[in-house]
Amino acid sequence: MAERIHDRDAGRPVVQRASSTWPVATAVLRMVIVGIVYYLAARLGLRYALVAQNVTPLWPPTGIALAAFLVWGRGVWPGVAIAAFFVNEPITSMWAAAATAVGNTAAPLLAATLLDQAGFRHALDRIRDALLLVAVAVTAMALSASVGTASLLIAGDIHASGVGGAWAVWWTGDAMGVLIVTPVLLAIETAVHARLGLPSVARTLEAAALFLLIATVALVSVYTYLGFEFLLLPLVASAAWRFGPRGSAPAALVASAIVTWGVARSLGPLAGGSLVEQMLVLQAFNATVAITGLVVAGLMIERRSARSALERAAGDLEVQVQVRTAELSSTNARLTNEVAERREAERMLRQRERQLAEAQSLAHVGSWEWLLPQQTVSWSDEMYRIYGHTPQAFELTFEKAVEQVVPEDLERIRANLARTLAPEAEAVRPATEFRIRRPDGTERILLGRSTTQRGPDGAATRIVGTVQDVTEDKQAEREHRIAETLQRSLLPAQLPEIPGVAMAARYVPATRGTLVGGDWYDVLPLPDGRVGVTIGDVVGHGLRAAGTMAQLRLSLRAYAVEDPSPARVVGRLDAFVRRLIPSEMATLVYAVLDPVAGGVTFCSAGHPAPIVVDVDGHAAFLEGPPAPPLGSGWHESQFAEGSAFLPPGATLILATDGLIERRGTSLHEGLARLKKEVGLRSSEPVDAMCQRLVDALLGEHVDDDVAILALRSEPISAASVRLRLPAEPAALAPIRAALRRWLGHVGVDPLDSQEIVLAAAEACSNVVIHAYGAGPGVIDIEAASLEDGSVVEVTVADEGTWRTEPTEGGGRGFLVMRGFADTVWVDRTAHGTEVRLRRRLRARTPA
Amino acid sequence: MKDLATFTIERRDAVAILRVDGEVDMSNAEQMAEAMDLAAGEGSTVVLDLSATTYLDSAGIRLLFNLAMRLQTQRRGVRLIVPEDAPIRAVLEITGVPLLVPLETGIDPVERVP
Repeated sequence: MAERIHDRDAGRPVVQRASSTWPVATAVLRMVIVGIVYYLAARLGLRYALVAQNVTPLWPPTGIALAAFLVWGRGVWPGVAIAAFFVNEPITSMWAAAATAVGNTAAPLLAATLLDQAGFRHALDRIRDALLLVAVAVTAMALSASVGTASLLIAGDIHASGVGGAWAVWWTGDAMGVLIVTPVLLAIETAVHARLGLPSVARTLEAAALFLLIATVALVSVYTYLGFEFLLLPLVASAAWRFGPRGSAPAALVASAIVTWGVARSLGPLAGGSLVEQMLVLQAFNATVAITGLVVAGLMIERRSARSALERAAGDLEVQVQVRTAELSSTNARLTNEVAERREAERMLRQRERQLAEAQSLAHVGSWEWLLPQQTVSWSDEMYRIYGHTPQAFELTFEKAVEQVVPEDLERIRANLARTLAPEAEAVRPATEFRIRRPDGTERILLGRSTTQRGPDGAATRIVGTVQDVTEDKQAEREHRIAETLQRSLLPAQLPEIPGVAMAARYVPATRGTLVGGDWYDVLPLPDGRVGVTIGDVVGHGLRAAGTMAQLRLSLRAYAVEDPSPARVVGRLDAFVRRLIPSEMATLVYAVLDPVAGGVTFCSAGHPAPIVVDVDGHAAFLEGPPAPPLGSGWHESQFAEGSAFLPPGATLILATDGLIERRGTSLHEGLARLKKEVGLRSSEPVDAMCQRLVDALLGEHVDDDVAILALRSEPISAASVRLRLPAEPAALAPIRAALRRWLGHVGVDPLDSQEIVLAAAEACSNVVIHAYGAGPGVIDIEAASLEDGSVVEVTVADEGTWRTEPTEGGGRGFLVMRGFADTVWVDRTAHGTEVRLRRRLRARTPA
Repeated sequence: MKDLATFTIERRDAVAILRVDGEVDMSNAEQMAEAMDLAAGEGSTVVLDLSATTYLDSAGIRLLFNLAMRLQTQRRGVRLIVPEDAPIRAVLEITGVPLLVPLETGIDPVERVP
C-alpha cells in the first residue's frame, strides 16, 4: 500500500512505501490475496485433473505460490497453506487435505529458498535463470508430489498400484505450474518494477496477433488430429524473441493451458494412449514449450543486453575517441601555440637586444661584464665605441681597458678597483668619473658604475657595470656654468640709487642646457642727472652670446655718456655691431629717463616695446618709431626715437622676450598677459613688482633667459636724500647733478650749493681713487637737511680699504673739503671709510 | 647736452687761448690735460679761459698747477681768466692757485705778458 505525499517545495509527488507503517496489515492482506488467488487457480486446475480429481497435469497454484514467495517473501506461506487445505478438503479426508496442504506449501517454499540462494533473477533475463527455474521446479516439486501422493494413498483415494502414475502427474503438474505460471507472474512483477509505460500500438497489435495465432494453433491442434502442436514451439519462441520473458511466459501459458485442457478433455492427438503415456507426452510438450520460451527469452535478453553493452562500449569508445581526439587536438593547438609563443619570444628578445643597443648608443652608455674565475671580460658594442675600438679589431682584456685611463686618474681607478674586489666591499660602488684616451688621442670623460656578485667565500665572482660617456654633457655643463657666471658678472651687481628714481631688476638664466646668456640690462646715471636705462637680447646663447652682450653693454655705456639722444646712441651701437662684430645680431631698447621733468625718450632696435603703468594700473606700451635689430644693415641716421611723459608714481618696465614668449602661446598673447599682470601690480614697490612678474609669467622651467627692469619716478624727500653709485669717475657728474637738484629742492642758495657739492664731490673722488684699488665698488652718499634747514650734512661712505690715510694723500681734495665744509669727520673702520661734511648755510633763499 | 666739457684752442700770434666750457672732474681731466698740451705746443704763452667753466675740482686744479709750473719753469707765460662771479673762483682761491697765477677777470689784451 502506498501513500502519496505532496512535497510542496519540490512540487512533485513522492511515493513512500507504507509497508514499514502497517507491516502486519500488509502481510495479512498479501496472505489473503495469495490465498484467494491460489484457491481460484486451484479450482481451475482441478478441472483438468487426470487422477482422482485432485491430480492435474498443470497445477497453476504452485506457480502462484512460488511467485508469491519470490515477490512478497516467504512470509505469505499461511495464505498458501490455508488455501491449499481448502482446495483439497472437499475432495479428500481432513487430514489428507492438511498433509497435502503442507506438501503444497513446503515445495514452493523450498523452491523459493533454493532460487534465492542461487541468485535467481526475477527478470529471467539470462539463460542461467531459465535453467535454474527448470532445475528447481523439477527437484523441489518432488516434495509436494511425494507428500501429496502419500496422503492420497493413505486416505485411500488411490491404490498402491497407481502411486507411480499419481506421483508423476503430481510432480509434473506442480513443475509445469512453476514453469508456466511463475514466469508470467514474475514478468508482471518485473514490468511493474521497471515502471514500463504502455507499449506502442504496433507492439500491442503484434503481441495480440501473436497470442491469437498461438491460441488458434493450439485450438486447431486440440480439435484436430493434424498434430499441429509442434507449430506452437516456433510461435512461443518468436514471442520470446520479440517480447522476451514478458512475451514467452504468457505465450507458453496459453499454449500449455489449451493443450493441457485438450488432453484433459481427451481431445487432440496427445490425448491417446494410457494415462502415463498422455502425461509423458503432455508434460514433454509443456516442458518443451516452457523451456523453449524461457531459454529463447533468456538468450534474447542476454543477446540484447550484450548488444546494448556492446553499443554502450561502442558509444563509450566513440566518446573516448572523441575525448582523445579532443585531447590530441588541444595538445596540438598548445604545441602550435607554444611554437608561436617561442617564436614571438625570440622576436621580442631580438627586438629588446636591438632596442638595448639603440638605447646604449643614444645614451652613450656601454655595459660590461667581468667573470673573475674565468678571467673573461665582455663588452657591449657601445662600450667598444666609447673606448674607440671596433669589436672585431680589438682583443679585449680588463688590463687593456684600464690602460686607457689617463695617468692623472689611473691611481684613483686602480684604488677603486681594489676596493671593489675587496671581500668586505659593498656590492654597488658609487659612480666614478674618470677620463680615458682613445687610440686616436681624443680624451673622453666617462662615468662608471658597477655592481659585484660574490661567492660564498666573499670573493668577487662577477662584476657588471656600465660606462657612460658624459664628455658632451660635461662640456655643455661647463659652458653653461661659464656663460651664466659671465652673464651675471656683466650685469650690474647693484642698481644705482638715484634720488627720485626707484628701480629694480631681475635676471633669470635659462634652466636648460646652454641656452643661458645674451640677455642684459643696465642703468647709467648720466652726467646731467638723467638716467639711461637699457635692456637687450643677443641672438643666440652660450658663451658667444654672453661675450657679444659684454661688448654691446660697454659700448653703450661709452656712447650713452657722450650723447644724450637714445636714437643716436642706438645708431652708433648699430654701426659698432656692423663694423666690429658683423656676424652678431641683437635687439635692444635704450631709454633716457628725466626724473625731474618726468619725461622719457627711447629708441628700440627690434625689441619688445617698454611698458608704462601709472599708479592706477593703466598700462600702455610705449610705441616708438620701429627699427630692425642691431646689425641688420640700417644706417645710423635711420634710427629715430619716441618720447613719453612719465607721471609721478608711474613705472617704466623693460623686459626681454623670455618674459613674454612662452611655448604654445603667441607673442600677442604674451604681451597681453604682461600688460594685465603689470596693471595688477602698479602699486607694489618696484622690487616686489619685478619678482611678482617673474613668478607670474615664468613657469618652472625657463627656456630662455629673462631680464626685466622697472623704474619708477618718486617724489624727492626734503629731509634727506641717498645715492648709491658705482665708484667710478663717470659717477661723479651724476652725483653732482643729483646733489644740486636736491639742494635746489630744499631751498639752498646756489652759492652754498656749489660749495657743498664741491666738497662732497672731492670726498667722492677720493673714494674713486683710493677705496677700491682697481676693483669695482660703490659710493654711498647721503645728504640731510638739519637744524631746521640751516645746516646741511653730507656723508660719503665706501666699503673699501684705503691704501693711504684719507687725510694724507688727499692733498688738494682735502683742502677743498676743509675749505667748504665747517667740519670734516673721517671715520675709518674695517668695513670702509666714512667722510662726514657739515656746513652751516651762509644765506638762505627766502622760502 | 654732450660731453661734460668742451675744450677749444684759439691761437692769436704767439698766444694760445684754451677755453673750457662745462665741468671738469676726474672723469674728463685727461681730456683737459691733452688740451693743455696742445695749447702749450701752439703758443709760447697760454691763456686758460675759465669764464665758461661751471665746475672744477681738485683734479682740474692739479692740472692748472702742473701747467703753470711747467710754463713758468720754461719762462713762458700762463694766464688764468676767471670772472668775479665765476662759480669756480672760490675753489681756486681756497686751493691757493692765485699764489702761483693771478686770477684775471678779462682776457684782453691777450698780448699782456705777466
